[in-house]
Amino acid sequence: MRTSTPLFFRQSTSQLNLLQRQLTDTQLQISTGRRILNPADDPVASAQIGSIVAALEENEQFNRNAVLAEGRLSVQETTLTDVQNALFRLRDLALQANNDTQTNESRRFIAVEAEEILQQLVELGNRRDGQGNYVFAGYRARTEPFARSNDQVTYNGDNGVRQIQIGPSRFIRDGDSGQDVFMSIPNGNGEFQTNAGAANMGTGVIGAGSLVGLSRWNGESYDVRFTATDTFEVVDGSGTIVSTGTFEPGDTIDLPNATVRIDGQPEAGDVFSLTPATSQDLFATAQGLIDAVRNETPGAEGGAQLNNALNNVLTDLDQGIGRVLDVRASVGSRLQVIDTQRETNADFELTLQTTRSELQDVDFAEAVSNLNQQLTSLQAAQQSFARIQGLSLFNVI
Amino acid sequence: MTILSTSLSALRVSQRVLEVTANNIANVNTPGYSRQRVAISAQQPTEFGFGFIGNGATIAGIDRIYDEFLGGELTRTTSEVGRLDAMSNYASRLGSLFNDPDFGLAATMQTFFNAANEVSNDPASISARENMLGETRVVVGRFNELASQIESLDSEINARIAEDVSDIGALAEELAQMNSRIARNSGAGGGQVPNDLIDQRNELVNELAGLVGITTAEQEDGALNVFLGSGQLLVRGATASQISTEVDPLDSNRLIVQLGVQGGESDITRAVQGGSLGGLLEFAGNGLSLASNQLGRIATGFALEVNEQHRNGMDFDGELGVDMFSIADPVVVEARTNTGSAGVEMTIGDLESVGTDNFVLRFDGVAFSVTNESTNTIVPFTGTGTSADPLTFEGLELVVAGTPAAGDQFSLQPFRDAAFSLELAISNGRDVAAASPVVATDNSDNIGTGSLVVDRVVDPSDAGLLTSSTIVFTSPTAYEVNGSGPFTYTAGAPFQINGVEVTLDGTPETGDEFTLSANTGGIGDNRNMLAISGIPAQGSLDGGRETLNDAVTTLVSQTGINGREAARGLAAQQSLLEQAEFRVLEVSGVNLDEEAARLLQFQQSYEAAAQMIAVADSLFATLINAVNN
Repeated sequence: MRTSTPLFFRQSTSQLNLLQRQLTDTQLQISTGRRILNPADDPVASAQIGSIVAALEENEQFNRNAVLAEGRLSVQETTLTDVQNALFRLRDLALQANNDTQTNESRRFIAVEAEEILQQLVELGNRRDGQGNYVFAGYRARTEPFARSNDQVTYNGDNGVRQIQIGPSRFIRDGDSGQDVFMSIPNGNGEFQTNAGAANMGTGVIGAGSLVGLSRWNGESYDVRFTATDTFEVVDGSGTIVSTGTFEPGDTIDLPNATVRIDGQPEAGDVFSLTPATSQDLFATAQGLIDAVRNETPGAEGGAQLNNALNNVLTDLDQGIGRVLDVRASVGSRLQVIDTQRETNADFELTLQTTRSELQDVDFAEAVSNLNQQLTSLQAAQQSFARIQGLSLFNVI
Repeated sequence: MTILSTSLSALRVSQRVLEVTANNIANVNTPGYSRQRVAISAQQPTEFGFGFIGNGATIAGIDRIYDEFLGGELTRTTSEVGRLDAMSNYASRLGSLFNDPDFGLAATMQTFFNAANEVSNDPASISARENMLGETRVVVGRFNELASQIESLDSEINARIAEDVSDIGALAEELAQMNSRIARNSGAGGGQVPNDLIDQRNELVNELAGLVGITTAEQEDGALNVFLGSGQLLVRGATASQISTEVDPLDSNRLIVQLGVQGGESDITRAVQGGSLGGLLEFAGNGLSLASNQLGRIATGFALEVNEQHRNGMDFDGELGVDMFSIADPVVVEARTNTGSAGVEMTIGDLESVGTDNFVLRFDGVAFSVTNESTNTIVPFTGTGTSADPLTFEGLELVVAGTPAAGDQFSLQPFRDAAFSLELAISNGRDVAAASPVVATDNSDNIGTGSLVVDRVVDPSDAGLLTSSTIVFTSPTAYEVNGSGPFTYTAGAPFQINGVEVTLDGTPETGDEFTLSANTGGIGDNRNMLAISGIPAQGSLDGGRETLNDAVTTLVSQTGINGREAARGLAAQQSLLEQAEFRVLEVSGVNLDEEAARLLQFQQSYEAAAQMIAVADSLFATLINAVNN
């Protein structure tokens, strides 16, 4: 092959250029720590990195959402603990008041304390979270949910529950509405409620009763009418006598699909009723306690009225406590879900980071070894060029 | 005294060779210079009775050492490098527009959805809503900026096309002049070609090849004819055709290339191949418009999806949501050459079916036809073009008003202005519709476990949307809605009331009531915002198979891959070009050592010839002396 003088120079500079470019790239890779200097070096990896960055940001947002939901649920959890304690105290008070050793005066003290607790319950219901939103107002975050007037508490929130997204397909309720926690609680035993007639003259005290052969109450109402102190008839909602029977104090009376126990001695004409449970709010239950202990009907029938009223208060309170416990359990499990989801999010983040690092970070050992190799090549090329270019026939003629 | 004339011829030959050698040395670094060699031959000998005696040397000609095939290879690779250089320059710039991993479009859109999440975390907070608007402006700004950068790439490309075309015109003119000089000189030189002019013309040809793909053919008189692409004559002997650019009659953003022919000008845009002009035209018509359409399609998908969901919501003040974004309608360009009175309006009927291609609507005097511009294929359509029955194809709907004339054309560009025109249409955080306009309430006296849930607003324009409705169960398996019915209850099956889709689930009992009513005071409600933050996970495009993020990833990797392909092709072609240059230099380049040796060689032969003259002189002197004596 023939070599011309410009060819020699062109080839040499072209080779030196190439080596220098490789060296600069390697040097840049090392100094930036990135394998991909220009997106065009590896467009697919770059596009993947773009998606990963977006996914990382989304994941971070889910974690922020989780922190917020956790905070809200913690506020609710604390509040519910306070509500539960208040209800426990009301229950203690009801049991105390139900004791025959209490006098009318000592019962008035109980009424005063119950009144305090009722006020406290309203305040708990109106609690706000860190952002100034009412915890139990449903969607009406800026409307005070509970207002008390004339011994009645009305609910001005709604039954909305906000969902917060804490994972790609995981949503969590960040609270419960006041409707669920305070308002719509079934009274009685949860299926039906028993009541002693207001005009009863005997000392009969009716229990809460239980279902027979049904899992849900069928909506019927019955009256147990005492035709004598030891006989009774069961009348259904339409006034038809369903059955009759004899009675001794402490007997359990069978009704269609239900049994109830009656203690004490009813008089002839006394009536005990069984009606489907309706929903009742915690405040009304507390008010029921206050009203019961304030009622100072004298005599044995007064004692029986008090017992019957307090029995109802106790079953209602148990329903309320049960509801609060249910909600607390649900809050607890939601907090658990948040914890689990945050772990999942952390794992996912690690995976994303690892993938991103694999896609974009340089392998330093390899890069440094490349750098050394390229340095050697460039030096050799420069030295050989310097020596060869000096050779010319013109130098020796 | 042949000895004297023979020596003189030797002197002359050596001197000429030394001159050519000096010229070679002088042009050692001249680009395109081919080394020259003196062809020496012996002169006609003189016949004597005993045989022939030579009459010295003579110069048969000056050869230019050049390989036509290597030269042709060089021209071809120069064209290819020109094409790929232009493509790769713009493709890589387009690629890096989208392909910044840290500030990519996907991450930017995510900030919008993150901000939506923040609002759904605390919808009662005005500052979260204002923050969302702020983030939205960033997203909108990013779309606008990308669109305007594409636009400026586009106008830069157009400027370069115009520049290239004018350079091509100038070079064609120079070549024509060179042709005439060469023809003139060849005539004067009695058939000997002027080597240095041929070299210069080759340089011009290579320069032209870098701008546009050409083929050449040499005429008998030494002139070189130059053809473009598929045989359009650019230079013929001493005349060059006029080449110019003109705005595309169908698209004011595009240029076409025209060549002067007899009786007018012909559009040779599609015939131009290779060279930087070919690369620019190819990229402008393909890579750039595809990326621009894809970006517009993403912007449109983003805006329409968010708008639709936003209209289903309720804002801070209890008003129904309005469009969050405004975006330009699809573009229809009427050809300047149209003679009819028809105007065409295009709307997007079904976004999921619209691709990234542009179309041309043509009227042949009888019927319309639609052609896909990228694939150049006829697209079937339905409908007649009235507003009641629009022309419908690939998710687009056309309404034609007025009367078209035969030959009328309309360019249909569904997404041309979309990304550029995207704008935030609300300015107050209170207008962010985070809530759903309706709430479902389970009556607190319900005995059963039934629960009513609002799934979504199907029709926010329903007149009864905000009217309360009551569902009452007349038995555990049947219910009435606002007194009408009964309907059979199926747990978990959605049904519609007043434009709202609701689901009843659980076990309701007789007499249980559920209410669907206006969401009064529900500023803590985040249902609509949650639905908005769920948009990225939905398949919004391509028949529901492609999410917005998928579309962004496609755009980013496609532009990136195009950039890399062009860059790789360029690198490969550059190395071919270098090899071609090396091979030409190998054959035609001057080697100084070679020239030095030749210098010595002919210096010596010159000295020898001079010595011969001295010898002849001394012979002559000897003879004279002998005669004198």
